[in-house]
Amino acid sequence: MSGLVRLSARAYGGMLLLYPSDLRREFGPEMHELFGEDLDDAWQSSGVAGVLRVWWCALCEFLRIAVPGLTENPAFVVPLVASAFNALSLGSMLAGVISHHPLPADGSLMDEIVAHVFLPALITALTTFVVVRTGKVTVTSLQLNVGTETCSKSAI
Amino acid sequence: MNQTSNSPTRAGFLILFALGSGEKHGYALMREARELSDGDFQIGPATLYTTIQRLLESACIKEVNGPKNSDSRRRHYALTGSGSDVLNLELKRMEAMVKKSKSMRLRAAGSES
Repeated sequence: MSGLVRLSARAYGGMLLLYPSDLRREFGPEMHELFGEDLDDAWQSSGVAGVLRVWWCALCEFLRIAVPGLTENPAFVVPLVASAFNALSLGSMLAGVISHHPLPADGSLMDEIVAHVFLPALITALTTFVVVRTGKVTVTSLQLNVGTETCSKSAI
Repeated sequence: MNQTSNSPTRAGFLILFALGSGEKHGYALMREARELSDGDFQIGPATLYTTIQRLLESACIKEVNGPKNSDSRRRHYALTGSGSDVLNLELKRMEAMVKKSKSMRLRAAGSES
């Protein structure tokens, strides 16, 4: 098996994490193995073109099957929207500042973008992800507690 | 998706058709589905297993033990009675459509002359 095929199989394993959890739980290992076999066959029969064909098919499937599931998942959508909004507002502020006060000769634009746009957006994404996840857990546990109480009361 | 009352999707039909000749594992199903469509329908792991999941839920197919000397990691699938019914119904529907299209073409050809 070539390095490209091995790397592709590993990348597909990572991509599988974004598929609906029920599909992943039930068929994840099989999907991963099947993709590896398909890649191996494609590599042996058509080389790089075969590998690209398998990837094209996998990407189309990802857009058709995984993305709709992700857009319904608040733990994915909320951090994405929040960090995009954050990056957009901070980016426009940075652009305004730079247009009035040009960077010093030794200053790198990329460093400024990473420090003032990318990192805050990343922190926002992580924070909102944690908030959404913990919020979900708290609501679920509250519902469970209420449910138990109601059950025990009605039993009495 | 109610496979018994509605027509199966294209992937669903190809999987049912492939299983019509006997039980198969996922990779064999994927290869046969591609061959059946002359490579026109690119079915990958996600489409295959999403369809298998739906067909299992609607009891059109079932998981079976594979041959004794087969790889134990592979899961094998076979048609159920209702899966056979869905497949036959779909084949009959297709046959009727082909007959209808032929007769319509004849009528069209007749009106031209």
